[in-house]
Amino acid sequence: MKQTTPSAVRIVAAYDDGQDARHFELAPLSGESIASAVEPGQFFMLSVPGAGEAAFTYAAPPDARGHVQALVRRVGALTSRLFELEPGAVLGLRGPFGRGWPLAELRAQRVLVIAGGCGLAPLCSAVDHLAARGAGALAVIYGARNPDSQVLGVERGRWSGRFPLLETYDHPDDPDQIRGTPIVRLDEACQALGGAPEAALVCGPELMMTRVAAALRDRGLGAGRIWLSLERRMHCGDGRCGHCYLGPSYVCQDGPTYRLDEFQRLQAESPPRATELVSVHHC
Amino acid sequence: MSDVYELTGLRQLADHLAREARVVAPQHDGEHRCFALLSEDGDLEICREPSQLPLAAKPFLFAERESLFVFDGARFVETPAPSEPLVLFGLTACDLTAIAYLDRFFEGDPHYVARRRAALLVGVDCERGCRDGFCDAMDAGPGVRDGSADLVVHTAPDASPLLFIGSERGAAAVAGLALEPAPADATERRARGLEAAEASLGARPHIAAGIARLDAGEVSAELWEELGLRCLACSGCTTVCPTCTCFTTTDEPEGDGARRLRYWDSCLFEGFQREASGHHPAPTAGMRLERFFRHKLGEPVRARFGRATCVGCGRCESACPAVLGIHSTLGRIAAT
Amino acid sequence: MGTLCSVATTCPFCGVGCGMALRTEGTRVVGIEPLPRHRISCGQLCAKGYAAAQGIDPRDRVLRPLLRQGGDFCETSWDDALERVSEALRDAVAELGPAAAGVISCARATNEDNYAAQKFARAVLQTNNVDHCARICHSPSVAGLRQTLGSGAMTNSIDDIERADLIVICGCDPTENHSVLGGRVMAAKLRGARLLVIDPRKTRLARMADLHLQLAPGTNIALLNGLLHIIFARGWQNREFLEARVDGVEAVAEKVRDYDPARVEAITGVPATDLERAARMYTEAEAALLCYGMGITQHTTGTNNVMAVSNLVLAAGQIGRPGTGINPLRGQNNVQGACDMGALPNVYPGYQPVADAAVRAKFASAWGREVASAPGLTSLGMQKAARDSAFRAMIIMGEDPVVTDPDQNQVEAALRALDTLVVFELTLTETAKLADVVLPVASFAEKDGTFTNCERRVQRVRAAVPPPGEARPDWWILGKLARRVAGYEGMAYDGAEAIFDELTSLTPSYSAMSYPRIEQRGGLQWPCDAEHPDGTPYLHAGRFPIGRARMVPLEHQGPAERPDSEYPLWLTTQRLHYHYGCGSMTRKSPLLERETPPGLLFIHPDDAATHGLVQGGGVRVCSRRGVVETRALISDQVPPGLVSMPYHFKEAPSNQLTNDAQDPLTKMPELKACAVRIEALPAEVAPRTRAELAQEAAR
Repeated sequence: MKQTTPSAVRIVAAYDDGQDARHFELAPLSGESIASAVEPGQFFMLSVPGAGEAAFTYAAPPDARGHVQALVRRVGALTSRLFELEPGAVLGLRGPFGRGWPLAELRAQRVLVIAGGCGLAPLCSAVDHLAARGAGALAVIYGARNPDSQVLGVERGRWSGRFPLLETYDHPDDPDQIRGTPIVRLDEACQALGGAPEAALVCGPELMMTRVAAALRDRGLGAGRIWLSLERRMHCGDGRCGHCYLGPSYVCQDGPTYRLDEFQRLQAESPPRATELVSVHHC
Repeated sequence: MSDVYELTGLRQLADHLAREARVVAPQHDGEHRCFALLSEDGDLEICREPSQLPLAAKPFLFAERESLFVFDGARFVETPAPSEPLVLFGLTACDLTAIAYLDRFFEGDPHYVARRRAALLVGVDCERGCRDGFCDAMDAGPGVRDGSADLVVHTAPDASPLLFIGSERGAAAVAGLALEPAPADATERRARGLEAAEASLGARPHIAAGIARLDAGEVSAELWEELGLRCLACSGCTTVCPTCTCFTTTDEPEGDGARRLRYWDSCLFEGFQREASGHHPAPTAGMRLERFFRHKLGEPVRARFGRATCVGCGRCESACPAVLGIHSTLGRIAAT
Repeated sequence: MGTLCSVATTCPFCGVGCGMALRTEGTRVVGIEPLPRHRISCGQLCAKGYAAAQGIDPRDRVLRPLLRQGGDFCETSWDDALERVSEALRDAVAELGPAAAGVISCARATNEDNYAAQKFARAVLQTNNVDHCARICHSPSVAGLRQTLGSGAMTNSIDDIERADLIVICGCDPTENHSVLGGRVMAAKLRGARLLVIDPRKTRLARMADLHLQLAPGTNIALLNGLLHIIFARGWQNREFLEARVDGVEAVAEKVRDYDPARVEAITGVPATDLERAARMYTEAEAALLCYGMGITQHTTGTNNVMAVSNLVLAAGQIGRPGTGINPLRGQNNVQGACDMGALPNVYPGYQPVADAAVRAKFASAWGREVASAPGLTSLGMQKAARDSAFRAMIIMGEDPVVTDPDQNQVEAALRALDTLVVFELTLTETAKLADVVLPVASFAEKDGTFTNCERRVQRVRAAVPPPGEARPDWWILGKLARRVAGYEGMAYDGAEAIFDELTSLTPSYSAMSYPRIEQRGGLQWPCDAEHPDGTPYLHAGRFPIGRARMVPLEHQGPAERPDSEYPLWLTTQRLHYHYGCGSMTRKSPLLERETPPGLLFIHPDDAATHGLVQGGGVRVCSRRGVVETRALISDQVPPGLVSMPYHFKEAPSNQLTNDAQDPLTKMPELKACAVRIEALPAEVAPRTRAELAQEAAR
C-alpha cells in the first residue's frame, strides 16, 4: 500500500539560509522509520500538523542516522507556520517520491548544472554526487535575485574551489558581481568545463528553465541531454490527487525531473498560450 | 465463468445478499433518487438512467470526505476506511467500467482499497439507451462488461431476470440461494437483448469525430477559450463524473493535534493547480477545460490507462450549467 | 460507516432556489448532490452549492450561548442567556419605550423564522422596528414596482428564460451570483435567443452578448430614458398594450423628449447607434425577458431606477406573457420570503400595510395581543438612532452588517453604542464579535422550514442532521423570549409547520399553501390562493394588482459622490461566483477559499499602468470614509476610470469605502458608486488586513 500516513520527525536544527528561506534538519522520532534510499532530485511530503502538507526536495538525502536536510522558502501559510516552529517540534514526513536526476547516465560526462533561486535545492545533492565522481567534469551556474537571496550558503562554501561555481544576480550589490540570468555565463561555463557540456541539469522558475534550455540548444546540446525539475502543486506525492498533471503525466510520479524532449512532448498535450490575464472574468 | 440462473425477481437476490452484508441500491424519496442502504420494506427500483443518479455509488468507494489520519500531538495514526462487507446493487455497465478504472487508478490507495475489497458489485444490463448516454462509443455498455461485476442481472420485458455469475466471489455470495438453472438459450437471449439496447442508442457520429479531432490536435486555442468563457468552475462535472478522482487535503484541528481529511476537488478550479509561488501551469479557463477533455478522451491518456477515462454515462451533460458536457462539447468540436 | 443518508432540501445560497440533497454520515453533512428532477436546477448547482457541506460544518460553529465578559466571551446556559436578553429588552423598552428596541431579521433564515421575527417585534416588543438586508438589495424594487405595477417581485419564472427570444441583463451578473439561472441564459443564447447586456462592467454575459451597453456608473435613468426617447420617436411603443393597460404614458413620452441620443451618449458613454439597436431589439422581440439586479437598486436613485426600467418594459408591452417580464434577481436565498413575511418596518406578512388600522386589528386579533401602531425604523435608521442614543437594544438574526452594510466605521459605532446587542449566529462573524450575547442557531441543514426563491416559489427546507451542541432554530429562541419578555405564549410553536400554517392563514398570497401541497407540486409560486390554488407562474396576465400600470416621468440624477481631483476613480462593488455575502459560510470551504485571495480590486490595465500596479500586487484604496489594502486584479472587466471590489472579505471590506448616501424613499445606500483614490504598495509588501490597519490606527 502507498504510505498516506506520515512518519513523525522532529526539527533537530534550523537556520536562516537566504532571504525568506530556512534550512531544516529533520530526524525521525524514536520508533519511526523513514526510507533511507533516496535519489538526488526526489522529494518528500512534509506535514505541518494543522497547516497541511507540501512537497519539498531533499537538500541532502537521509544520512546514516536518518537525518534529512531541507531548504524551505516561505511562500504561503504552511511555510509561514513552519518558520515559526522551534527545534523539537514534530512534523510528518512521507517519501521519497518521484524520479530523481539521471546520475547513472552521467557517470563520466561533462555536466553543466544551472540553478535559479531556490532551484539550487533540488540540485544540491546531485552536485555533491557529481563532484564526487572520479571522472567527467562539472560546472555550476547559480543565479539569484541578489546576494542576500542566495540559498545553501554552507553547501556552496563546501563546493568552493572543487569545481567552477559561477554566480549571477538580477540585482548585484557591487560592480564585481555579474548582472543577469545564468545565461550570461553559459559560454564561460562551457570553457571551464573544457568543452561543450554533454549534459545539463536545470532547475529554477519555469520561464527561466525554458530560456536556459533554449540557450543550451543554441549551443548545440540536444533536447535529450537536458533535464529539468518542475514545481507543481501536490497533495499526495504518488499520483492520486491529480493536481500536478502535465498532460497525461503526473509530475509527482514521472517527474519532477523530465528530459527536455519529454517535457516538450507533454507540454504539446496542452500547450501554454498567452491569453487574457489570469482567468479574470471567471472569478 | 459461465454459470447462469433464473431469478424470480431482483428482490430475491437482494434479500439473500442482505443476510451477509449491507446492501446499497438505488432508493427514492419522492423525486429524489440516490444510492442508499436498502431497507427491508424499501422499494427496489433499479434506475438505469445515470443522470438520474448523479453520484452513482462513487462515494461508497471514494468518499467525498475521508479521514486519512490523526496527529495526536506526538504521532500520526492512520484512520482506516471502513471495511464491513457491502453490496453495491444495481450498477449499470458504465458505472462498473468506471469502477474498473478506479481500481486501476487507486491501486495502493489504502482507503479506496479497503472500501473496494469490502464491496460486492452487482451489475444490471441496460435494456435500452438513455438520453445522454454514449456508453457504446466508449466501450462501456450498455451490457455489463466481462470481469467488471461479481454478479450480473439481465432483465427483459415479460421474462424472468437472468443471473450471470461474474466472479468466484459472486458465486460464493449466491451459494445457498435456491436458484433455478437458466434456460439453455439464456446467453443468446442476453446477447440479443444487448444488441437491441445498443441499437436503441442510435448513431452519435460526433463522439468519434470529436475525439478524432482532439487527437489530431485540430481544436484551436481560440475555441477552447470560447468554451472556457462559459465554464463557471462549479465543479459539477467532476462531482458527478464516475471516474473523476482528484482530491485535496486539509487539516482540521482536533484536540492537541489535527486530523487530515481529503475532499473531492475539481481540476476546473483555478486554484487547483496554482503553485505556492503564484506560477500557474494552466492559467486560463480554456486551458483547464482542454485538459479535462484530453484527460477524459485523449490518446495519451488512453495509452496510459488502457481506455478512455470517459465511460459515456452522460452525467456531465445534465450537471453542467454552461452546456459544456462531453456530448455538447464533442458536438461543437466535431462541427467546427 | 459510509454515507447512507441523503436528504433533499433547498440550497441556502442566492435566490435561485436550486434543489440539493445533503449526504450525511452520523450527525455530519459530508457531501452535496444535485437533484436531477428539481424544477429549477434540473441537476445543476454552482460552486457554492457544492461546497455547502463545509459552510455549516460544526467546526468553528457557536455551540452554546455566549456572554460577553470584558473583551472575551464565556459560555453560559440557555436559561441564563435568555434571562439576560429578556431583561435587557424589558429595560430598553421600559426606559425609552418600544421604539428603543428592534429586530434585524434575516434573508438567509426560513419564512418561519422571519414570520416569528416580525411577530416578536410587533406583538412582543410592540414595535415596528423590524427590517433585514433587503434594505440594501431590493427595497427599491419593492417600493418602485409596487407603485408602477402593484407587486415588487419577479413577474415571470426562471423557466421563462427558455421562452424568450431576447434576454436583457441589466445591472446584474447572474452567471456569478445566480449561477444556475445564469447558465439558463447561456443555454438560451446557444439555442439562438439574443442577449442584450447593460452594465458598466464587462461581465461574462457581456462578453457573449449580441450587444453590450457599457454605461458609466449611475447613469441608468439617462440610458433608459434614452431608449424610451428612441422608442417614442420612432413609434416603436406597443400602442395597443399602452392604451389598454397603462396610465401616465404621455407624461413620460414628454419627459424623454429631452433625452435625445446625442445627449444620452454624452451622459452614459454609450454610442447613439447602440442605443438605437438596443431599442429596436427590445421592441421587436416577440418575448423579451428582462432581469435586473443591484446595479439598478443600489443607488441614491434606486427607486427611480427601478421605475425607469418599469417604464421601458411597459412601453414595449414586454410583460404579462410567458417569456417576458421585469425580473429583479433577489440576492439571498430567502430575501423574497423575508419581505413576504413582513420583516420590514412598514408591512405585515403579504405586504399588508402597517399604516392600515384594519390590518393592525386583524393581526392583533389573530395573535391575541396588542400590536405596535407607530411606524418603525429601517436597519440603517435603527443604527442612526443608536448613534443618537435613542435606541438601546437590538437583535440581529444571522446578518453581518459590519461587513455588508455601507460605511463600516459608522455601522460599528452604532453597534457599540447599543446597551445590548444580541446576535443569533452560526459562527463568530465580525458582527457577532461586537455582541453582548451570541445565541447559537441551527443552520438550514438542521431545521425544517421553507424558503421563497426569486420567482416567488416557496420550497421546503428539511433537517438532515441535528443542530450541533445546543444550537436551536431562530423561531424557538424567539418563542422562549416571548414568554420571558412579555409572558406571551402565542409563539410557543411545536415545529416549523405550525408556524407555516399560522402564517398562511394571515398571508393572502400564501393562503392555499401547506407543506404537503408544496411537496406534491415541487414548490408553489405566489399568489397561491383560492383563485390560484396551484400558484402563479407569471404575474399581470390580464390586469395589474393596481388595475392599470403606471409610467412615471423621471429625471436623470448622478450619484451623490463623483470622482474629483482628490478621489479620481469610480468605485463599484460586485460579487464573485465563489462567495456568498459576508463569506461566513463559503469561506469555510477550503476549495472556495483557495480560489481567490482574501480581497481583490479589479482595475483596468491602463489604470494599473498609470498607478504602477502589477498583477496580484498590493494596492491601497482610500475614500472619504475609510481605507483598505488589497490585491490588484488587472482586467478589462472594468473600463478605465472604474475600479471594482467584491464585498465578501472582512480583511479588505469594500464597505470601509462605500457611501451611505441614501435613496430618499427606501433608504437604500449607494453601494454601487463612490469616489476613491488608489496607490500601489511597494513590491513585496503584503496588504494589511482591516484588523491590522485598525490596530495601527489605534496605536
